[in-house]
Amino acid sequence: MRILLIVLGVLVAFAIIIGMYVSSTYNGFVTKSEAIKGQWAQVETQYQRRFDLIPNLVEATKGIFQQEQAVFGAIADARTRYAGTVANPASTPDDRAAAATRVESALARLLVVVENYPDIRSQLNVTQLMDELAGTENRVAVERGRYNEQVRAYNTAVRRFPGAMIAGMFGFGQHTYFEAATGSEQAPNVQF
Amino acid sequence: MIGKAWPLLFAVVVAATLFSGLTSVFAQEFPKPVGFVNDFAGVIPDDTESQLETSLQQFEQEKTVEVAVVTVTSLEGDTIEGYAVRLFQEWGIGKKGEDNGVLLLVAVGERDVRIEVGYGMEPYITDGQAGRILDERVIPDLRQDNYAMGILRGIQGIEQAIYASDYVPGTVRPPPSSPFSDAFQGKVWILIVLAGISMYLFSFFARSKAIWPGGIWGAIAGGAIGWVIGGALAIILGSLVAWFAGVLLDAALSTAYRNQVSGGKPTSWGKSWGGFSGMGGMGGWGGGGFGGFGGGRSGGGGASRGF
Repeated sequence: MRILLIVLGVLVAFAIIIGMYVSSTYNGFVTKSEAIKGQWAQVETQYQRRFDLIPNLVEATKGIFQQEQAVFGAIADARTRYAGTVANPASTPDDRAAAATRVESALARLLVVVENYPDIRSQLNVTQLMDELAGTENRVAVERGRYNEQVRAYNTAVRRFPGAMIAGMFGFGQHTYFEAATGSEQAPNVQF
Repeated sequence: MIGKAWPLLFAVVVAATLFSGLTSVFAQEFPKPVGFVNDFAGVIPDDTESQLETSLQQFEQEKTVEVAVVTVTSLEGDTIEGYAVRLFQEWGIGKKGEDNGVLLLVAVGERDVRIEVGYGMEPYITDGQAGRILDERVIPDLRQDNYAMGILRGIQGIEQAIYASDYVPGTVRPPPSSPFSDAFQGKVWILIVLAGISMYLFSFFARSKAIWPGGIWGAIAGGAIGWVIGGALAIILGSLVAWFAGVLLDAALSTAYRNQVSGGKPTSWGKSWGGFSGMGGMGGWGGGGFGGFGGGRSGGGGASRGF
């Protein structure tokens, strides 16, 4: 009788501990998943910041770089497309990321153009604008890196044993990494 | 006898499963901060360094803003932007919740310099301003390898920018600490007394065949620890976990005792210490010197320059 009670007690203790483990793992997945969403919002905040910066930037540099109108055309075009994508309620994060990447490569071209005119680059207002632009690009890169870091933490937790069993039970799938579109990180060619 | 060892085996398996999610390999890449000024490259003379440290301490007292100076010989293959943001995150420069930290990072080998601005300071030191501070105050001296002067003037520039802005000092929160070490601050004696009584009691429990006394004592001790930590949940969880641990320990010790007896080995009180050798290493509070930064974050704001 006493043995039976002990065995029963141990079994109950196991059930409680396993229950605690399952619920804490489940909650861990939910927390990590929400962290990914929150981090994506951070990325989009930086996209928006960049978007708001563009008119000032173009205004200040358009007159100086008369012969580089193609760059400004590309920036205006990419900005319009990004605005359209964000305003479209059916757009997915992937769509918005793609639109933002187009803005990114257009701005990268402007940066290269400015680099090619050292005397103009050294003008105070241009320098400040370039710092703002470089800072914004860096912020985007940082937040996107952290987004991927969150995705990695979540995906690892979901795929590792024994969490994988619990993830399978409750249907936690994998999140996709943000991949910079090809071409956005290589410097574009500038014709003179 | 091997069959009697199953509770121990289970305990090991359960513990390994529970803790496997907690442990992760963490690359210890950055040195610990030694103060507001961290001249790892050794380019700032000692008197300038202590002068700078004092001034940054005063600035922190006045504005709660944590301004850190770091010089390194190498970025170890990273860009200065990447290095700065990782170091900022690792150290947590600025107050938690305020994110009011600023980092001036000089990479001597790469000849790069960066001002990294915490999230909370971004409105007060814009990227354009950060670049201007570097261009006008820092770069000219750094170009002539006059690191101390360039850094000094750069810090002046950062402080002036904050003074000139409408920055309102944040509310200082206590540094983060675990509820466990917090609760036991000055109450370590409870743990010591509990451990002492446990050792005494378990020497009797081990001689008895039954394993329930260990569970009862475990529940009492766990409840006491939970009570110190605070909250009903802590008491319940504490006694539950400790009850279970007590049952397992009693079972293991009883098995061990019978093994000792059947093997004709001595079973004096002193021998039963062995089961508790794993309880060491509970200390480790405090530590002298620089208390560390407040846990602030940054997100890549600021400006960089080569020199």
